[in-house]
Amino acid sequence: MIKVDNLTMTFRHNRGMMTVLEDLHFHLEASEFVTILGRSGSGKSTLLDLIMGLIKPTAGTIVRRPGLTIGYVFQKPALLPWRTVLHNVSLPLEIAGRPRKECNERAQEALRQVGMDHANYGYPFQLSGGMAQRVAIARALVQNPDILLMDEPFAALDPMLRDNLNVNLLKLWHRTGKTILFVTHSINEAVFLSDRIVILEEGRMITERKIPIPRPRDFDTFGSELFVHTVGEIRKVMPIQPNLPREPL
Amino acid sequence: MTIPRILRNLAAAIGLVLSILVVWQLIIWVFAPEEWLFPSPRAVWLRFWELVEVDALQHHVKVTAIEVLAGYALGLVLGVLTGYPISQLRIVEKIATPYLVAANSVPLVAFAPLLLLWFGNGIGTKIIVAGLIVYFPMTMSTIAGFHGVSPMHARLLHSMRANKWQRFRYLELPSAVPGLLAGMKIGAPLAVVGAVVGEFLGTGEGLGHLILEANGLLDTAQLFVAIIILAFFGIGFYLMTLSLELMIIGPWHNKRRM
Repeated sequence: MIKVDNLTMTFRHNRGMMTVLEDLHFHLEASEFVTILGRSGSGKSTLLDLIMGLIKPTAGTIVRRPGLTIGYVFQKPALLPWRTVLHNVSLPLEIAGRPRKECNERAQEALRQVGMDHANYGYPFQLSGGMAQRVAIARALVQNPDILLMDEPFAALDPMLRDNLNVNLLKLWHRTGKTILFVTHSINEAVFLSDRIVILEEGRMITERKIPIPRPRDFDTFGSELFVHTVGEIRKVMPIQPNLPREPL
Repeated sequence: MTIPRILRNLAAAIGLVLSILVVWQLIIWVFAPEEWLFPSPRAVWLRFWELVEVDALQHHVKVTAIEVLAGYALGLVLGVLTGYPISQLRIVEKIATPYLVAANSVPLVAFAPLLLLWFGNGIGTKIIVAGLIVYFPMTMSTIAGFHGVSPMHARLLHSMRANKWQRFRYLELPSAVPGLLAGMKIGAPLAVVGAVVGEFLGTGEGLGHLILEANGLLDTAQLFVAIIILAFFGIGFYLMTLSLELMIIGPWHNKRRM
């Protein structure tokens, strides 16, 4: 669906240039769940912006299947406080110029998919963090995109809730057959969700791993031996932060 | 038993007015001041009806009301029209802000004779004075309002490929509304001040004129009538903007933010 070749992204900095992504190769197949794993500042979000087409690469190519539509979920819900939940979700359709009736019906359907259709006429301030992020996912789904880009969507939430939302995300993924490109710095989350993990460090792709854990996965998966083993394997290939000591302080 | 909040607030407001009247009357009884120095509530009440009967008061109130409303509208429109471009272009902001601040720090009264000279003695000058005094806070609030757009939301609209007009309609304008309403709230009582300052320049009409006239004749009761009506003007006007605010942004503003 998406093929990225020799991708390099350089930003002009106060003094000189800063290379955020360097010679990246990467592809995404239909209905795959792929996670980009890396710590903060490894260029994950920039990669999503490039794939989304929000910014242009310095060098290299991004080939998208013609007519491909993309939904984007940000780190924060970014709901507009003056719009009701329903109208936050219908916003992408309104901007695309769809008639009002269609906007509302499809927004309702998207909210049903994330289990938030009871909150249609509430305002964002009435939602908890997890609920708000589910609404944000509904907003990304409302145009029925082929691909969902998710930029650390649950990073700000507490771990229990995060597992819960991830289980539900997998259900949604099975049900809708969407292709999901997920970004996180949590190894557990990446292993639990993905078919494939791409590890990024300082703008370079370190390695790519397939995750052998069978599907469907649910809460029990977190405790399984295979899960713990796979997390350990991934941790081994994750580079040590150069300026942190190996031994405990 | 619970009493609706609006009734409780109303009762509190009426209670306050009544207690002011009681204290006022007590001062009259205890100190028995000369009427030209400090008139009794009764004297003010009687003077009020005298003014109404000669049909003078209605006319003056009407003139001042027109000046206040027209000046307010003028100040709002000009404030938004200059504030918006300033908020959008950094360079314009850098150039314009010092001048705005400088102009704003000169008391309006200092400009007033100049305006009289240029625009004459008519109602237009009063409207301009009222407009100017509303203009500055409205400009500043407009700038602050449009600067209140969250970068996160801007990125969201960008990702939805909103065009310039859609960005304005769906993001910039609604983000600026709380700021604009704040400016309107500050401007409302100022418009009353501006109109009266304008009338002090002399024309023979309006509540400001009524005050000047009363002052000249030592008709303190008339002075009180004019002052009280002006206070009601300010309150009424402020309440109008307040209810506008509740209507427009009440459902979501000043709540826990996302």
